[in-house]
Amino acid sequence: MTINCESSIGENIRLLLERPDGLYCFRLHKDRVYYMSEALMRHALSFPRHALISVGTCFGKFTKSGKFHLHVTALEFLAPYAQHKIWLKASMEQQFLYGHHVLKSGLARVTENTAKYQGVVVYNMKDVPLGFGAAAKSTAECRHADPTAIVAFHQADIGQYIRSEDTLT
Amino acid sequence: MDRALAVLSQIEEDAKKVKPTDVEKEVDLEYDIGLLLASDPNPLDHDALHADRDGYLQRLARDNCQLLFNRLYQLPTQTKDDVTTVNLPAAQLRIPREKPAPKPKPLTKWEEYAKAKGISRNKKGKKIWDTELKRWVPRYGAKKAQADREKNWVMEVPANVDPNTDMFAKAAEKKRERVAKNELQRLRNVKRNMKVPTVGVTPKDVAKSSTSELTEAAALARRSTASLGKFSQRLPRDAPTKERGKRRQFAPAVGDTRGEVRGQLELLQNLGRKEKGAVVDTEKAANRLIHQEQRERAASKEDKPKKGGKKRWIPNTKKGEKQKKAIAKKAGKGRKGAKGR
Repeated sequence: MTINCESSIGENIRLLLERPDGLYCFRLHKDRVYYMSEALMRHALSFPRHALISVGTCFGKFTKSGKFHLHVTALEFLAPYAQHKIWLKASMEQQFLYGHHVLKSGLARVTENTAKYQGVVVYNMKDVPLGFGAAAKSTAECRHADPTAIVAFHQADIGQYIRSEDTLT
Repeated sequence: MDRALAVLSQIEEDAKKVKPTDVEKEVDLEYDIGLLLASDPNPLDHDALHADRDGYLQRLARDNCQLLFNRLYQLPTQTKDDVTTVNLPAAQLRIPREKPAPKPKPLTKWEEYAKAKGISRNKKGKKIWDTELKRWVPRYGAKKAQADREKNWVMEVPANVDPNTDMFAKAAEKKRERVAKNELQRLRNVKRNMKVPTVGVTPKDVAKSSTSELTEAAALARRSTASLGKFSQRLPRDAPTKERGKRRQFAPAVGDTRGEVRGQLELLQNLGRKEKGAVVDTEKAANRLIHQEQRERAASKEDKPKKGGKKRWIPNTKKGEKQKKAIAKKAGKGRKGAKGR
């Protein structure tokens, strides 16, 4: 889990754990990773496992093959600490929120030294975080791609709050 | 008189200690003596149950047991060596199987072939009519061997074989080979069906076993107890055994949260650390190289004469002036760069 998150936000992830307002922890429950305060975690212990649906914020889940998928619910925690960002043009913003990948024609800006397949946080031109993605091309490759080439894969977006309302935990 | 009274009072006291063997029940019990089973269809007395649960249930159990034993004592008894035994009748209740039904034995190779081809077994008679000897000869056995010897009292040596060969010996050898082949096939069939234990087998010859086999055998011996080795003493120089069967280990949910946080931060540090000896940032180097190549390509493109350059219309505004300046700068640079090289 730390690998994927870490690739998105790098060193600043320690700020999630070293918070001044108390101890926070990550807990694995039924293949999902939840982020919560220690007090909340102790309260959650009084529930049987089958009855507990969600505790704190869901950061993502482990797939059957052991990969970790970040969920959009982690956005507000991880976005401030992102090291690699992508800014989208207004035209592309809607498409991204519908779940499509980011094309070169919609790319406004990208941070320097973004490696290929690096986890990125996607912003719109007003610096509002829209979701998570993975860079399909490195920054250098992006410059020389055709307008229809995919530059970032969509992983999670805030449109999912409406689209997948019933499946988000 | 006193003695008689004393004896009577003793009998009375004894009788009081033991409860009576007659038990009154509203509905008779259903018995299956073969299984030593008695079922009581009488409803429970809920008042008594609420008042004194354990006591009531104990009395109930005692009464039912008494009735069952009464029935047992009614059966004809046999005494042997001071032991009275009773023959239980056959069980009436059909109990379901304890273990699953046995699977049909796998067919042998011939049986499979015969089934595929539709060959059925013909019931052969024990004796065969032998035309040469003109009598009924058994199909197998000593008498058959005797009859064969009678028939083959002489064996021709064919033309293509050395005249000094012993044909009888050859025939005997062939028979031996056939028998051996049949035996081999039978054993192969047996092997196919036999289950060889693969788990929990310890090496037979300790001197010839490898270390891993011996440690495995020791671990096996340690956990072959009723509590699966939980309380087995370990020798002082024994290696600690791995946790078996636990694929994933989870730390307890509540524990030292501070310690957990510290551990996670350390893990982060290790992740972020660069590999030993990696001084060169390969990505940066690659990007620099790409950038240089792009610049060279752009410069070489500008060297080529432009084919009838399209005239760009530039508006007469501040922005337009900027654009004009930029174009002029680029053009100038390009030429200068070319001349420089």
